Amino acid sequence: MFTLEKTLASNMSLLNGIPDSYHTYKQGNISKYQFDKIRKMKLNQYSGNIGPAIKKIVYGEEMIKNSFKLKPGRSLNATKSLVQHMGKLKSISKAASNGGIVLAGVGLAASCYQISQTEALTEKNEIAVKAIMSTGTGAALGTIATILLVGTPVGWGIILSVGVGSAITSYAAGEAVSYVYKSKFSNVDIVNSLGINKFCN
Amino acid sequence: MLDTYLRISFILSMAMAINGIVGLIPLLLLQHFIFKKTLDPTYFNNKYYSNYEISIFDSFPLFLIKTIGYIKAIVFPGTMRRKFKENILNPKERPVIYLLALLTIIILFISGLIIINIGVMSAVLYFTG
Repeated sequence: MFTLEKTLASNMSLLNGIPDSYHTYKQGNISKYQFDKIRKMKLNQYSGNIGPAIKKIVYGEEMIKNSFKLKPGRSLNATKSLVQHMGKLKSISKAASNGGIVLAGVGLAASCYQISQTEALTEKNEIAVKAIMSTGTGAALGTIATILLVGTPVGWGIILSVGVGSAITSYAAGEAVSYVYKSKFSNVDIVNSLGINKFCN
Repeated sequence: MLDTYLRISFILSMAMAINGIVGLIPLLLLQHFIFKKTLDPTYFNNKYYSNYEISIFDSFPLFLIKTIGYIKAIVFPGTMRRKFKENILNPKERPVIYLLALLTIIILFISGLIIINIGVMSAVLYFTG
């Protein structure tokens, strides 16, 4: 979800100039050859950046250039299909982003359910520590990753590595801190002092 | 010694994680609303963003990417000069906005250090059994 959202969002600036370049071409400020070259260059870079996996998810077997096809002469608004396709990309990016939030919410809800179903207080605390650590670390790492990636169109490989790295780190942080809790802090009642037990029940 | 290190690491890690959930996200949302009034009229337009970006960064939760971009441009203006071509905020004119952005970066920097420390702590636990 992180990779899909961030790849599409960070590469939007590449698609930026295609409709504008078309209008510039129609006004006669650039030649058709120049416009075709700009369009081809932007689409090649976009295609390289989103990578084969996202290409397959978003475009299936269809060629990327077909989705960004202009229809000059057939309608009054030649860039209509292109703008519609950008709208589709927007929906996918937004859905991926919402999906990430939903997954985080589902994870927290599942932990909450586990807490409510567990009898032993120590176990309840361990589950809470794990859930808080994974979610908090994930939020911090997600923001750090966005700070590093924002403003530059980056390839899917980098974003995938960052996404997978963040997910693994968040999970490992939950496990490690929960282990320390178990061995050093098992007398501290986190679920009751933070009101988690009451909330989840 | 190891015991004290583990205890301090645990407290710092929990503080970072709780802050990540209840501190960082509200701080970003607060800045989103401030930037919407102060920076968006000048910078959130076709001169700096494509139509596609404008439509996508206008809705939750993707507007946070735009907010983080502004924070980066305020605290590290050099890194976003390619996009904005200028410093988007003079810290002397709007100190509160600058301090909030700086606070976010400091929180993230400390969070990053704590996350690195969790890795060190895991390695220490692994090698000491």
